[in-house]
Amino acid sequence: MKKGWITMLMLLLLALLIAFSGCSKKQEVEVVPPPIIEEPEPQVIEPVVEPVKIEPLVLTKIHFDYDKYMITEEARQTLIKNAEMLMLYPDAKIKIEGHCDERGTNQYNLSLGQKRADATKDFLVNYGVNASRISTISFGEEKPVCNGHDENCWSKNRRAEFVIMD
Amino acid sequence: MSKKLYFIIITICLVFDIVPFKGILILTKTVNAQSNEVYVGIRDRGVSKIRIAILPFQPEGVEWSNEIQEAQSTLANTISDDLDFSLFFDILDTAYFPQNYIKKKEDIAFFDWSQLGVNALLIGNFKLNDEVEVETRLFSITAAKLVREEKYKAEKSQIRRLAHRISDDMIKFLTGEDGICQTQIAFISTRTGHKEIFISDYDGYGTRQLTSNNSISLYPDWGPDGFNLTYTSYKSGNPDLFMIDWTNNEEIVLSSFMGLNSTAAWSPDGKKVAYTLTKDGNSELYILDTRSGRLTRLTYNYGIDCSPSWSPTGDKIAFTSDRSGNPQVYVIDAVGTNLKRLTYMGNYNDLASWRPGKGDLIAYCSRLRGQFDVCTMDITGENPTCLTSIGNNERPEWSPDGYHIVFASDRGGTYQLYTMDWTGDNVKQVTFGYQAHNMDPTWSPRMRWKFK
Repeated sequence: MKKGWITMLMLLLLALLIAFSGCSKKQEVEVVPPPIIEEPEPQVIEPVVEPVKIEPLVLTKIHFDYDKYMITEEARQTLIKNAEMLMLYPDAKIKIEGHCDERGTNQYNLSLGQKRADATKDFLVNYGVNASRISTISFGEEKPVCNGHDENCWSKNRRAEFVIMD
Repeated sequence: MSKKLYFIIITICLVFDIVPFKGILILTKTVNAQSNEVYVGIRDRGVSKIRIAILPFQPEGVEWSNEIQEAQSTLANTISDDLDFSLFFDILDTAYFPQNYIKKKEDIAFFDWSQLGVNALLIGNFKLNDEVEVETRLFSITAAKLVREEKYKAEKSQIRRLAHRISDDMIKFLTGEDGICQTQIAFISTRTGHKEIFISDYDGYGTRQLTSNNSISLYPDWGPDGFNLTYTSYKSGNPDLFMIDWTNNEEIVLSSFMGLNSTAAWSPDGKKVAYTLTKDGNSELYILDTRSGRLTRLTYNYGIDCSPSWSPTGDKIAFTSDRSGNPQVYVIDAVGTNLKRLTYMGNYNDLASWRPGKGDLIAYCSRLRGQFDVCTMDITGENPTCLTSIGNNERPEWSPDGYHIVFASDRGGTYQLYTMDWTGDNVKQVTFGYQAHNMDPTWSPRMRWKFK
């Protein structure tokens, strides 16, 4: 009886052993490691510089004769360049500031400065710049760029300046 | 014609001291029209003024101190300067006072004073503690009696203003005219580094800052009721027109059209403002009804139109236009008709200011010698007469009585305010400053300060 037990146990063990060895045989199928996906280096693509707008938007101020708001020939040349430039930057908005020298009265100079700003705007608009892009303001003689009391300074102060708006 | 004849008779009377003149010192506050004309005559001719002696005001009840001495001289000097400025009075210099001019308080040496040609004598006492109390007594020397007694009281810091009140009361009592001694002058100063508005008494004392915009402020104009003042400021970016309203203690935007909202001038009735707008593409004059907000365009011309000034009756406006090629003064009816050019001398005439009261003159700025002078002309443009001759002299503005002009001049290096008589005499510097400019004045209407 006891012998029969042992034999049973041995058989069981054997059976287990066989079963196990069969299992390990299946495992022997070669496991292929997952392929290493090579992530490409994030390439910095240099933006291609378009050769169209080489010049930055710079507008040159113009000057006026004493107590006048007519565009002089010299100012006309400058304004043509300014207008061409503005056409390269169709989204840019500008404000034209009219200024005077100190010799007139402050009060009249406010109007004179406005006339200068308006005359400048008119020129640009007539040249083809959209009027809605241009606003004007007069500072009369309140914002001189040169503080002397001679023609050298006065001629610098009689001006229209261009401010590029955001 | 009859007016002229009357004037001649009055003048003869004055010259020979046959006297409606003796009557003055017993005039009450209700003065008849005749005696008014006598005094208008005095100011216009600059002769036969009322000779007045002002005794040093005597302190009461306290020991002598520097403070007492200062108060005494403030009272005496302020009243004396005021009366002199008014052009009605000839102030007797203390050096000519009779010996022992006061023996006793009530013992006036009428005879001695009359020998000196004195018509009126002002005596005063004052008490000084936290407050200043002043008692004045005015004597007619010609009638040899006391004609007016008055008491005044104010905080000690208000002593100058109190003295101005005494002056105005004296002028009213003796001449029937309203004085301008309590008036103020508003002006633009650069002393803070920005152009801000400041206010001072008409004689330059008591200066205080009105605006703190840290921006450019320009061209203040004091409204005729005294309670508001317009000016142009860039504080919002655009040169807009603002109004300070002291009745409600607020500032409102009166006009903010794109472009200039500038050189505003109140109409004499205080309801409208004439000013420059560039909203329609050119510098034109408009009239804004400040109550209804209704805007009326006055000028239609491609040239610059600016710097309006109303006639005292409010039916005409003098202004500057460059329609002839350079700035000249024109006049137009306030409804936009009857345009007429007034100035023909020189190529720069600007800043017309119509004389209040009589309305017979227009002051303006003219550049005939390379720099600006303050000039006057008849309202027809005739008889242009320049009153200054040194440096630049700009923005003439009349005192409310029409007998004085304040203007800005750079004769001393920087722009400072000066006053002068309508004839150009008695030029007096009102503001001082080594670096800062003080300019662009406007004279307040007559004022009567409240003391407590």
